[in-house]
Amino acid sequence: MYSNVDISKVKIRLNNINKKVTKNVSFTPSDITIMMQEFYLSPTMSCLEDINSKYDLYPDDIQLLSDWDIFAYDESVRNFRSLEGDLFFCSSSTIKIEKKYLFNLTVLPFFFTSMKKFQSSNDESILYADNLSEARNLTMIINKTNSILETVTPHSIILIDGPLVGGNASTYMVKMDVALRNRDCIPLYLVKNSDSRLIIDNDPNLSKEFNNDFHWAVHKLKTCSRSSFFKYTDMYSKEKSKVFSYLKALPGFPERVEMHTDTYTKYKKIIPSLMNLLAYFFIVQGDYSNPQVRPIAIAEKYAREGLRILNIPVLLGKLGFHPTINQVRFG
Amino acid sequence: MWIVTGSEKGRIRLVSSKDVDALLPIGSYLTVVDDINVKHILIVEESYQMSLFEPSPLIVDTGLPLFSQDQECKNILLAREIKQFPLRPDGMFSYIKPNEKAQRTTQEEINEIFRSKEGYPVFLATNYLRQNSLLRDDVGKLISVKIPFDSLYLQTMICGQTGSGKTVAMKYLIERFLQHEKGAVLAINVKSIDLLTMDQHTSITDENLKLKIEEEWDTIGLIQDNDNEYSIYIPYQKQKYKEGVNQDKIFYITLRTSDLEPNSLLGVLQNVTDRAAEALPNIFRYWKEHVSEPTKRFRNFITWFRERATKENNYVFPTLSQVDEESELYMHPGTCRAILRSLESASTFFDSPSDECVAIRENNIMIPGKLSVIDLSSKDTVVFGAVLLRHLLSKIYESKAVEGQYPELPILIVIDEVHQFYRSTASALALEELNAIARMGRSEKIGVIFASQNPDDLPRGLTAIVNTRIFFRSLGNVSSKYDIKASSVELTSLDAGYAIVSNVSVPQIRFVKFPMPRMGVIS
Repeated sequence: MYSNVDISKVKIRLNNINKKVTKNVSFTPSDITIMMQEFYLSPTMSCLEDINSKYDLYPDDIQLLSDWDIFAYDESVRNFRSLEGDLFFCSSSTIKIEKKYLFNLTVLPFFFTSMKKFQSSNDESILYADNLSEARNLTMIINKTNSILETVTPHSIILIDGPLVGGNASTYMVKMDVALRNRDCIPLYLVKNSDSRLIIDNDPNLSKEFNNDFHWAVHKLKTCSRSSFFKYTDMYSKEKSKVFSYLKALPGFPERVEMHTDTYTKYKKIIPSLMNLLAYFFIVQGDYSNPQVRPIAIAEKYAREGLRILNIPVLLGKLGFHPTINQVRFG
Repeated sequence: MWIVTGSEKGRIRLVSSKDVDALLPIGSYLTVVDDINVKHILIVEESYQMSLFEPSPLIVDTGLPLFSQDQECKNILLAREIKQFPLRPDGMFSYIKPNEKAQRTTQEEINEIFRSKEGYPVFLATNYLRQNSLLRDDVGKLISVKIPFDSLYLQTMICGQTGSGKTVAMKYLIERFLQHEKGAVLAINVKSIDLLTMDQHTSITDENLKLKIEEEWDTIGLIQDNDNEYSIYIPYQKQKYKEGVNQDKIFYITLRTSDLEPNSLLGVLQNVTDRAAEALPNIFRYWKEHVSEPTKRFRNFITWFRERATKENNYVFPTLSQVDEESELYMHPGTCRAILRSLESASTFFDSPSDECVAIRENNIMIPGKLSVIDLSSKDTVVFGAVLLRHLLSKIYESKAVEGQYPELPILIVIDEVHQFYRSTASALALEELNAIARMGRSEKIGVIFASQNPDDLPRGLTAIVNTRIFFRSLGNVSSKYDIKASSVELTSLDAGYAIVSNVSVPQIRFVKFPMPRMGVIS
């Protein structure tokens, strides 16, 4: 991994889209919220520790930094509208913490359309979608798992933005998770925002008082502590099983860390140190209003840079795309 | 390596790559080779750091170990393109495009840009945080550039405060001129023993400095050469001469009234009116032609002048112009007294009867490879100097330009603290000859180096004709007056030896360090 930026397919794909689907897109990116929907069917929940105990974090315990390689993944997206569908750019960034940050950055454009003529198309850049948002999420997940699997090396801790289990993406994520664990890697998933109610729905007293698990965690956790570990397993799909905890390293909002149950079992001995390392990464990032582990924040920085360096509106103009009618009329 | 990221107001913006772990100082040169193999040479005008990841200060406050990866910084440069080569066949100039790569310019590329083979080498220098350092290539080798010797014949001005390296640079230029041009040098020493030790090897006691100087000498291949003839000319005086100066080289000099060119006498005048100043040469010429005895002694001229400046003679003086026209001139008694005072004070320098004295003439100076230093560092000798200088310059001018003697012999005239000669209108007039010489320098191979602490001390006419301006550490207001603002280096922050140069032949060269000469610097 040598600070690699791959934008080689951008032009080829855009030319293809330009030729086969549309020449008219909005040069102003439209806002889209990429949020992995979490839903849990038939949950089986258990608490692996005492739910009422305090679990302090020790951010000075960072021995794992020397013993393991650290990777982090994040992505950044931008969407451009057209009458024929959405032109979507996904910038995936995986970073490795070496003496300096090393990064692997890939930017790919996709065109999502509901035109049925593309339903059976094998074209990688033009994708048929009944449900645009769902298709977009799926594309991102595939991109994400490919990017991570291509980049990480054995005996690494991988910090990944977004949940492991909870939604349509679970199958892909679990598959990747297994592959990583087989390489003696520890994938940890960090979730900033979620409406999940797995904890509070398990206790009528909690569900009476709290709107969701994050709401509960904000009130429950003191700075530099974590909640007990909870285990969730899908009753009908046992491999979709995760262990999670809420962490609050800085004053402000907590974040959820989750891992596959097999990861928890396999690396149980070092789980406390892993949590301490995460606390350290939160403090290094140091942003009360946007608590993130530092490596993911850096991966996010590179992912955004991936879109910025392309200068997409200019590139689109050069490749023969025209502004949409609305943009011409209303600027 | 640095990567071009764009441009700002005519300057190219570059960012360092991951392998660069420090800041490139201002004044450094970079080379960008573009896709059609045109080389672009850039000079760095701004350099600063940008932290890439802006880590949280919390990490320090909490006492936790630093996350060293967050310390990565980038060096942002703003550089101006100064040259591109080879030129395109279509007559246009190539862009420097974003994402093109820049490397530090090598000595070979510098030689390619500045094609002067015949020149005195100086080191290119850089500046950061008001600290000066020598420019080096990627392997740490010093980078030098040659300023053409020819530019010495288009006159040179050197300015700088005491201790800024001005005199050492003059010595270096003298040394290089003698060695390369095999010409004659006439230098005026006005303070201490500055130019009186040019026959002695440079000796540096500070070990660190010595190592640096030796590296400089090795880089430019400066070899020791003391084969040059060297004479120090001192106005005759009784006091014993200064320590540290080789007595064998000293010759006492006097002026022979019989030789004296009348206009040279203007140099002695102080506090007299312009009219009187204009009149004195003609009065002196009349005396020389019609009154004086064959020996023509200066004392006799004073006596004759005093006799004329009486009520009985109505303060009327006979005159003889340059075109042999006789006339008479009335002078105010006060003016007469002032002239007499000036003549009396200068009389000791004329017609010395001592056997030790030589009457210096241009043939003492015009010898290939010879350095002649006239020492005017003792009190009151500047007046004599003004006369002597005028006299010698006039003779040199006449012999070279009018009589066509010494046609192949280059000559360099070096005048330190030149403002001392311009303190009065009369002595300034006495240096008119210098102006004339300066203006015909190139055709006759005569170069003049004017040195002064402040360029404002020099007459505007003189500063306007110089082709090379060398500014050592000086007051801040100097830079705006002499068009050296663009160098981004403050004149007030220059260390000894570092200078900003403005030379018409090599306009791209701005910030340099003068090497130490092999001879004449004793620390």
